[in-house]
Amino acid sequence: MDGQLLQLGGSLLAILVLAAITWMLKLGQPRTIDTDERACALAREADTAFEPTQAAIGRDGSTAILADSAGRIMVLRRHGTHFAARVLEPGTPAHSEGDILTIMPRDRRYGPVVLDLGPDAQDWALRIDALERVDHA
Amino acid sequence: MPDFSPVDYAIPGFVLLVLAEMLWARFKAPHSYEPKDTLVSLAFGLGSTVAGLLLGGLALAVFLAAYEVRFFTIGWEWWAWPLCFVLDDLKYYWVHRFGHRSRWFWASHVNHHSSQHYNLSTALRQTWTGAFTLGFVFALPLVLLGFHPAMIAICGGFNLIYQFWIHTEAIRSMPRWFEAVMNTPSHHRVHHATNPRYLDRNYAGVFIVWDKLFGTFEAERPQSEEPIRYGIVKQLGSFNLLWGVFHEWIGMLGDIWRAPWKHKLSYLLREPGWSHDGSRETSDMIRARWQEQQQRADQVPVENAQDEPQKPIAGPRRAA
Repeated sequence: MDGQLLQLGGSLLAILVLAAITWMLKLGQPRTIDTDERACALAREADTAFEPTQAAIGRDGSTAILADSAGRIMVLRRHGTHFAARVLEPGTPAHSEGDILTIMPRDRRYGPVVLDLGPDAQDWALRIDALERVDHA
Repeated sequence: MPDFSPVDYAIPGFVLLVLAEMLWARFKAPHSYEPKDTLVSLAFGLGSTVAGLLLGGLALAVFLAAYEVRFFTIGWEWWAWPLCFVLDDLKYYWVHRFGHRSRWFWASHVNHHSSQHYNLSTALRQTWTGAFTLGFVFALPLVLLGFHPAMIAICGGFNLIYQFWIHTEAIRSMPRWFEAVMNTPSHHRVHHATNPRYLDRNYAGVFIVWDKLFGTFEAERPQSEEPIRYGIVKQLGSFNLLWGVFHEWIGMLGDIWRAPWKHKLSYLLREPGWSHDGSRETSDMIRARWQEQQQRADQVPVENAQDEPQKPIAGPRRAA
C-alpha cells in the first residue's frame, strides 16, 4: 500500500513537472481569429450544416459570433490554442452593455462568451433575443 | 498466477518520449501542445490507473471464473503468446469499434478523444469508467478458448504500449510495407479526426489489417489537401477534469431519463448522436451531408461558379 501511494505521489509530481515544462517551453500560445473568413472557416469546421453569411469578431480576436442562412447563430470561443463552438438555442440569455455582448449558452460548462463588438453589440443581442421569439411564436 | 504488468515498466519511457516530443514541438509545431491540455491528459492517465486498481478486480474475477470452464487448455507454450497477441488485437478492434458505435461504450471512450490536440500526452488520456461498460466481456471468448487471463492481460499491456507512440504528429509516415500492416501515426491521426471523411474510421490497435478487413479503413490525405481537426464533434470547450471524465455519462443518463419509454434503451445502445426525434446527428449523418456538399460543389460548372453572386464572407466548401 505504501509502495502504491509512493507511486501515486511520484506520478502526480511527474505530471506537474511535465505540464510546467510545456508552459516553460512556451508551447500552446493562444491564437486569434483575425478575419471574417477565418471565423467562417472555423464555424464550418465546427458544424458542416452551418453556412455562415455574417460574422463579427470580438476586438481581442478570442471570440466571434456568426449567423447562417438558416437564421441560426453560432459563437466561437478560444479554448487553449483552439476554438470551441456552440450554436445558440432559442432562449439563450444575452445582453449588451455598451460595446460588450455577453452570452450565456445553455451548455453551462462551455461558459459565458463575452464579445467586444463595438456598436454592433446591441444588434447581435437583439438577434439572439429574436431566436427566442421565433421559438415561442 | 504471474504478476507482471508491462505498462508499469514502460511508464518512464512514456515520460521521456513526451519530453522529446515537447522539444520537437518547441521548434517545429509549438501549437501541438498546450499546458492545460497536457495537464488534463496526464491527470486522465493517472486517474485511469487508480480506477483500474479499484475496479479491475471485477474483470479479473470474471476471467478466472470463466477460465475454470474453458474448452481447451492452451497453457504457456511459446506459440500461444503471438497467437494470443493477435487475437487480443482482434478483440481490441471490436471493443474499440463498439466504443464508437454504442453510446454506452462511447460514454467511457470519449475521454480518450476529448482533446483537440494530438500528441503523446493524448495517448495517456485514458478513461476512468471503462469498467462500467463491461467491455472486458469481449475478452471472454479468449479465456474460454483456453488462454490464461494473465497471458491476455500481458498481451493487452503490450498492445497499449504499442499504441502510445502512434499518438504523434511528429512522424508523418512509416515505410509503405509497415503502413500496410501496422497501425501507425498516420492511420491513427485519422481515427482522432473530426473531419466528416474520417469519422469512425481506423479502429485498429496494433494491426491496421482489421480495418481493411472489416471495411472501416480510411487513408490519411496530405495535410495540404485536408488538414486534420482533432477532438470530438461537439468540442468540450472546458479543461475541467471531472466534466471531461463524466460529461457523456451525464448527458446519456439525462437523455434516458427524459426520453419516452420506448426510446430509453436506444439512448443507451445506439450510436452517439442518435435521437428519437431526429434533432441530433450521428457520424453517419454528418458524413452523408458532407458527401452531398462535396458532390454539389463538384457539379457546379466553372462558368456558373464565376457568375454566382459572391457572398460577402462565405468561402468555398470544398475543403473538409
